[in-house]
Amino acid sequence: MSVVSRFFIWGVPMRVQIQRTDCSNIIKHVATGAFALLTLLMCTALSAMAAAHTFGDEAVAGAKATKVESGKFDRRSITLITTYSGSTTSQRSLLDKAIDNKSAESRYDVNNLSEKMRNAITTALTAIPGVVNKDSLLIDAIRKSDVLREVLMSSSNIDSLTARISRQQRRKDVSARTNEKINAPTYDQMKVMLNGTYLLIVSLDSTLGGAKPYFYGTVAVVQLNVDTARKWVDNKYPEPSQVGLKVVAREKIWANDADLDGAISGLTKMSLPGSSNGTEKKPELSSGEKMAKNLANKVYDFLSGLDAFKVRAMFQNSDNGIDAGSREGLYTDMGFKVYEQMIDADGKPYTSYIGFGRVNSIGNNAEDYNNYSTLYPKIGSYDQGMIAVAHEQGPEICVAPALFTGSSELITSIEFNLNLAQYVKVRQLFLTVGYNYGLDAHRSTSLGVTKRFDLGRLAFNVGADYWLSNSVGLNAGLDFQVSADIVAGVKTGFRIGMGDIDGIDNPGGLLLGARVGYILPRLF
Amino acid sequence: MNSKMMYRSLVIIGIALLGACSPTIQKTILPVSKEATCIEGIAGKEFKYLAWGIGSDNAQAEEDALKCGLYAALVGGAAGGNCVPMLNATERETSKDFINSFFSDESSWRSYVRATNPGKMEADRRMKMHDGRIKLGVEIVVATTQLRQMLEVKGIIKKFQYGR
Repeated sequence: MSVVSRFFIWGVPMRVQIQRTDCSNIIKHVATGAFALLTLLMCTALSAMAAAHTFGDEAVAGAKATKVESGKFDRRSITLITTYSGSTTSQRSLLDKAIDNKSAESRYDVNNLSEKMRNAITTALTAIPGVVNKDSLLIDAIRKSDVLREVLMSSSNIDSLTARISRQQRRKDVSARTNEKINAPTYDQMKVMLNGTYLLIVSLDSTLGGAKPYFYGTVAVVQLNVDTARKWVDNKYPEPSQVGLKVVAREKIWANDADLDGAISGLTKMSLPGSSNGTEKKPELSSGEKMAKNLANKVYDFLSGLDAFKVRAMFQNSDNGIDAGSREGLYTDMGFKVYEQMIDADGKPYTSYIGFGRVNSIGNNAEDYNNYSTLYPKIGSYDQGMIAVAHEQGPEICVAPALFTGSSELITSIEFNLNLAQYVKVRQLFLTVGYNYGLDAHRSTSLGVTKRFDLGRLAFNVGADYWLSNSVGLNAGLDFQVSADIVAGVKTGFRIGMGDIDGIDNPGGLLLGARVGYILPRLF
Repeated sequence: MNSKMMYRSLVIIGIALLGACSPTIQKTILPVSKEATCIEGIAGKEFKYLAWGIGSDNAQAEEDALKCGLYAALVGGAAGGNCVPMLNATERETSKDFINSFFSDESSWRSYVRATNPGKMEADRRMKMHDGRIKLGVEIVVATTQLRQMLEVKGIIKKFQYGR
């Protein structure tokens, strides 16, 4: 005899038939307990999913939320100081124009100095040979020129605030109520603005003429630091003596008159407005103008490599669109780390790491600021308002052991995978150069091409390669993005030996293997 | 205990747990944050605020910011600037019902406020709070002339008299 139970789970009719035996009661209790446990597990899983959705995308993406320093995305401003000892007036004019044009294209705030102050600081720096190459001399010269007073006013926006107050006071008010005083920036706001102020000093050490002329100089970056007692609030700004100066970076640069467009180069990242369609005829530049433009490009390339000046963009729509593009020199497959600004329970701001993505399409924002670029989300999911910070990557170095199933030979390959996307505009296309080492005395170098197809955090890849021991192979694999810079995966393939060369054994047949890769930072 | 009752109890508990897991925050009539800073208040024209809104997502936070700026224009509480609120202390007390009904009708209050850059995010103006809610700073403009006219017609405030 059997007992049939009918019930509903979330509206779905269910039927359980229990055979009555001597143990029927035990079975009934076990079934009930199992059902209760299943329900509890399902609720817990759903709660966890909902909580993950509520409390951060990083849990869903698998990336752990880590606190990074607050102030990571605070305002940055640059004050340009150019000093060209040993240069002619016309050369200085060319260089100033090129650097100023480049500044106008950049996405940083540029603090403008008056002509009088520019001359004063240039004179102070030019008078001391090699001043930009020694921190103490450079800082002394900056202080003596008194340029800091003007820099502080400009970067803390005091001028515009003062002007705004004057305008308000002059306005007639028909209401019986009087104007309230406009509040000055708070101490914390001023500190953020002033500590985000940098002096960019471009110094020309020499210019050489001849058949291949070039400019040779130094670029130095000095950061202002304000960390003193609160003596300078309420419409004031700190005295120059209260401001710390620190040389944060310095580099020698040189620039010749090579053409700016057409060359495969990782150095020149900015595209000229209108150059993307290639239909407009560019004006012919003189040798000096080319050198000046190249120097300006290299100065800003150097600057964009500093952590404080890495390209930053904000997600502006739900399609992973960011407000950076050709104007900032974005290129296909350029890496970005994604962060979200948070407030903790005490109201203190901090930044949380969300994930990593690569540039999928590039918006031409040189013409229209609303042309957004898009990121492909490799790790994490993004929301409008999150922030992307450039994380440029270089070649990937990987170790890939593989077992040839036919001969049971184990060969380990060490490969350098160079991403060609920046040059050929095809995402995730790699040139592979490798060295293959077998336990059974096989040694060979190899050359290959691989294309990866992103599937979220996974990527399916197919490729072909040629081993210089005279064999060809077709490979396929599946990779997992462990972190922004680490990839791991499995691979399979088939090799055909085309005859031994120099007696080197050429394994053939089916292979199965794995690989672990580390993506190096971009060096050039 | 009857097995049928046990099954039903478990189902009810499961549904209750699911309901408790929902991250959606109920919409409120009045703004949640009420945090605004007056940027520019030109008497007889428009008031511009940097208003902060709080919501379960960006859209809800932006809506809350619009309400917040409009609320500041009506009732006050904005920091800085010279954005003088429409209602004085007495009028605020006597008009509580009106304020609630005004904000409960979206088609009504929306016509007096707009964002200067709708849908566009500004740097340092979007944060996620510890409880998962979004805090969003939006620059908004309140059409104070039309708002004043509406309040005068409804008898909430007295009409301006120029000169005596």
